[in-house]
This record gives sequence, C-alpha cells and structure tokens, in this order.
Amino acid sequence: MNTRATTFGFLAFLIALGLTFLIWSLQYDYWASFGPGAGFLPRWLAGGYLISCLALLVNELRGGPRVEFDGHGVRRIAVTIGLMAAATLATPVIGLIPSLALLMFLVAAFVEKNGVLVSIGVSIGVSIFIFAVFGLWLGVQFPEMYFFRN
Amino acid sequence: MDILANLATGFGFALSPENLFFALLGAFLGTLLGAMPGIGPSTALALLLPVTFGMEPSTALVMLVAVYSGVMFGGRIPAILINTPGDSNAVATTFDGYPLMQQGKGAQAMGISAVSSFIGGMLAVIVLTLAAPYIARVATRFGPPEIFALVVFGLSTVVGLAGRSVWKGLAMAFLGGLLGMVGPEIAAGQIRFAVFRELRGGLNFVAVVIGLFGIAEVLVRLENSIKIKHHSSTLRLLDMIPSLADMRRYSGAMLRAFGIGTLVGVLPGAGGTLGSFLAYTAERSVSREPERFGKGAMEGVVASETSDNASANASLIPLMSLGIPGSGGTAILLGALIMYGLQPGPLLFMRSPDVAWTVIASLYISMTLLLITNIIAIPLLMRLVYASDGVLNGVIIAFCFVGAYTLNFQTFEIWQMIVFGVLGYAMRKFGFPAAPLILALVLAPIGENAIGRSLMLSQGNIGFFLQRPVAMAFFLLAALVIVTPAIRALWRAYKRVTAP
Repeated sequence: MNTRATTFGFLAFLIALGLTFLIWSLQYDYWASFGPGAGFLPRWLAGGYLISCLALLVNELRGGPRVEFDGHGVRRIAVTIGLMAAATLATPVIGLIPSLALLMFLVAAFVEKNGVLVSIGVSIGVSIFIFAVFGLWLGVQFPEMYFFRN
Repeated sequence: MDILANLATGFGFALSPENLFFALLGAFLGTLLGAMPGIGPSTALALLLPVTFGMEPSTALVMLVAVYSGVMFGGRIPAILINTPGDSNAVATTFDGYPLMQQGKGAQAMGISAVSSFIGGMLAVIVLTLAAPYIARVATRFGPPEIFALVVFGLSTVVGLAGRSVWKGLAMAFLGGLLGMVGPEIAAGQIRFAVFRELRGGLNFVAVVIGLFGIAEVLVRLENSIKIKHHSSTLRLLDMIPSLADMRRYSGAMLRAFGIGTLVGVLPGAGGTLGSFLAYTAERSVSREPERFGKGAMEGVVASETSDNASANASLIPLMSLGIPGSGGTAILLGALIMYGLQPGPLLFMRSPDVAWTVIASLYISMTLLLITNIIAIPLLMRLVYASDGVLNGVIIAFCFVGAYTLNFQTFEIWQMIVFGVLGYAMRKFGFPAAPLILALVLAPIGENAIGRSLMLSQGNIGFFLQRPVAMAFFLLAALVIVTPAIRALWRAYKRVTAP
C-alpha cells in the first residue's frame, strides 16, 4: 500500500476538517455585547489547529516516518466496519440483541476465523449475558424486532 | 480531625454491600482488562462506563475508580508472563519481569509486584486523603480568571501527553477543543456546528471515548491479528506470597519508587510511564549490582510497579482537588463526574462531600481487594484471558454497541462511536495521541465559560488577568510546561554540536 499517499490523505482530511470549522465559525459573532461571542473560541481553536496541521504537513514533506499497512489486516478492518454499519442499520428492524448476536457470529467466524460452533456459542452466550445485565438487571429498553411491535 | 471524620463517613458509604460488590467487580474486571495487551486505563474505563448507567453516582464512581486501579494492577501480568505490557505504564516491568519468568521465578515476581503495586498505590491514596481537601479548600476561592488559567494549565499538559510529536499532540488538543464547541454555547445558548439535528446538544462524550479507545483498539487488534501466546509455565499460589525477608529486602526500593511515582503523578500530563521509567532508572543507579538489571533483578520489577501505581493514584489529586485530569484515564473519570451531574474540582468536596469521600474511602478498599484478587485469582484470570482471546474482538464490539446505545437509546450514538472508532484507528496508525483530544474535549467548554465570565467582569480588558496573581502563576506554569521540552531539545542539540 502506498503509505506516503495515505499519510498525506489523512493530513488532507484533517486540514479540510479544520477549514470547515474555521469557515463555519465565521458565521458566529466574534464579540457579543456582553463579552466573547459564540465564534470567539472556535476561531482561535481552528486557527491553532490549522497551524499545527500545516506544521505536520511541512514535516511530512521533509520526509516523515513511514506508516506500514498490512493488506490482509486492512481488509479485515474494512469488513468489520461494514459489519458494524450493517448491524446499526439492522437494529431498528430486527432489534439490538439479534443484531449484536449476528455481528458477533460474523466477526468470530469470518474475520477471526473461529469454528462455526465456537462462534455460535460465543454470540448466543454473550447475547444472553448482555440481555441479562442490561435488559433485566439495569432495565434498559432495547429496540425490539420490527415484526414483534404492537 | 475533619479528614478522619469525613473519611469515616466515606467508609460508611463505601462499605455498604452494594458499593463493596461493585468495588470488587470493578477491581476484578479492571485487572482482567489490564491483563489484555494494549488495553490501558482509558480503554477499560471507556468500555465499562456504560455498565454504570443507572447506578447511584457514588456507586458508579466506586466501580470506575476500582476499574482504574485494577488496570494498573493488571498491566504487569502479561508484562511478566509473556513480555508484553498490558499498557505503556508497565513497559519497565518487562525489563526484569520476563527474565524472571524465564528463570522460573515468575510466581515470585507476580507476588512481589502485586505487593509493590499495593504499597505504592496505598501510600499515594494516603497522600490523596491528606492533600486533596486542602488544595480544594484553597481552590474554592478561585474566580473565573483563575479557573480559565487553570484550564490553560491543564491544556498545556498535552505537551506531556503528546508522545513523540508535540505538533501532533497540539493538533489533537485543538481538534478536541473544536469538537467540544459542537452544540450549545454556554453564555448565549447559541447552537454551533450541529451538522445533524441530534448534535444540537453536542457530541456525546462517552460515545466519542468508546469509539476512540474501544473500537479503535479492536480495529488495531484485527489488523495485526494480535493474539496472546500461551505460556506453558504454571503459577503456584503459594509461591506468589512474598516472605517477610523479601519485604525487608525491597522496602527501600518501594519507598524510593513511591516518592518518584507520587511526584510524577501529581504533575498533570507527566504520566505513569515516565514515573515507572524514572523509578527503574533510579533503582539501577543506586544498586550495588546495576549489571543485574535487565537480566532478572527483582528490584527492577518492584520499582516499576510501585511507581506505576503510586502515580496512578496520585494523579487523582489534581483531578479531585482542581478538576484537572492529567491523563486519558483521569480525563474519562472527569467526564464521568460531569455526566453524573457532579461539579468536578474544588467544589466537589463542598457540594458533594459524600461522593468525594466515598470515592477516597473506596480506593483504600479497592487497593486491598486488588491485592487479594491479584494473588489469589491470577491463575483464574490468566485462563480467562487465554480462553477469550480468540473471540475477544467481537465481544468488545458488542459491549461497545450496547454502551453507545444506552447513552440516549438511539442508534445515532452508535454511529458517533463508529465514526470516532475509525478516526481513532487512523490516529493510532499515524501516531496521533488520543489523550490530548479527550482532555481538550472536556476542558474547552469549561474554559470558554470561564474566559467569557472573566472578560464580562473586566468589560473586555485582557489586562485584568495581570491583576490576578494566582491566575498569572498558572499561566507561568503552563508556559513552563510548554517551553521546557523545547529548551531540553535545544540543549541536547547544543551538546551534540559542541561534543568533541
């Protein structure tokens, strides 16, 4: 993986974030009649942040340390993030506990390469534990399966 | 006498069956999480913070403080057993702990290190008991200018938390400050940077913390396929109990390391890692046989662990008396105090003395429980760590999800957690420290409120700060903290150039 490009990409993201904050903060008053306005501190913070990011960019252009990425590892991460997003989207439809049980099974079986029985056991066991602690003991109302409502 | 009476009241609350149970649970879970490589106090607290929702504030804090102390105890276990420190504070423990394990003295090293951790931590709690209320009493006279100066001093410690790059630490502190600006401005109530309707109340601190530490940790583990290697050696319980002769032999090392650890812990941002390295180096320099260090010197383990635990508990002094967190872990504890509607800092002892003294009393109890569990339960803990390792990542993700969901009973907090998890992973990869971001996220809104009130009092005159000696003292301290590393670097460069 091109590590220099990813480092510059991350710095570009951080700088874009800082610019967004800075431009957005301009619509708030710098000074109000009673003292500093809503834009006072955000402008100073965004300014300091951008200066720090630019200093980092200059350091990087001079040749910063290389960051190593493992291709297989990055794929495992991408799959896990995708599974987390899918579980979040599925939560209002199938409920939180079933979503988590599925998520744990998929991560254990396909990302961490455990056996199917171990993965099923862990996902069911931990789901029951979560329901017992949070649902029964702490009284948390989890989202229910869409089809079971009413 | 006041202190003793208050402490007795604190013990009255802390010894209630409920608080005692949660202190034991926190100590056990903290040790378990601390024994997992890579999981430090910040990650452990982030993971277990949601479990405390619905509890009484004092009970929740008793459990969180026990988790915090437990992680410090637990970090030494993999450092000695498998040469992998649980967190950076236990790095110095590996230098002699693992060689001792290879020489068949692992059980003795585990026992002595547990007792050293206990003594270092307990002595620091005594210092906390005596010093924190007095510092807090002085600090209650602070007005908005002093509070603003205190916040600036707290933020200046990012230089210490920054790790290798001060620019990266500063960038993360500024970013944390900006993220702290999302939501309503305190003075006029104007909503800022609310890109989604759900952000009108601001970012959820706990969701951010769970993402930056919990999810990011899982992603790093998944990328590198981190697995704990099994060690065939067994640890016999009887070998773990140190003899009186051992205790006498290492008492000097413990006292020296306690002094160093406490001093480092009180300084915000200095961190336990620095403390344990300093104590280790000091012990080697006073030793008659310094060549044994690194090859299995028990004093090395004793020094590192005593200092690590002393600095962890000493860092609660600025947190409880001034509301200044000096590390990622104490920043999360500060966030927990705010979340439970408590006023962190000097007013904690005035407005919620029951909570403050219960927490202090529970530290004595936690340290005692930790000593017992860390001697008796080590074999069980290690089996649990080994058994859960292959499926740990999915389980951590599930707990993070539940934790984020229970914050507001909406999936929006889960999305926040995932976004900050990805950001946290990227930060770890590119060497950006997360602690300054968390510190600034907590302190920036407090600072904004304080500077607003200060400038209102002075009708916009910045020179007003010059008339406040305490505020000026904090500004000078902040400048000293920021400038010292730069001077040290220049001095090193000068010595290099002038060296023959």
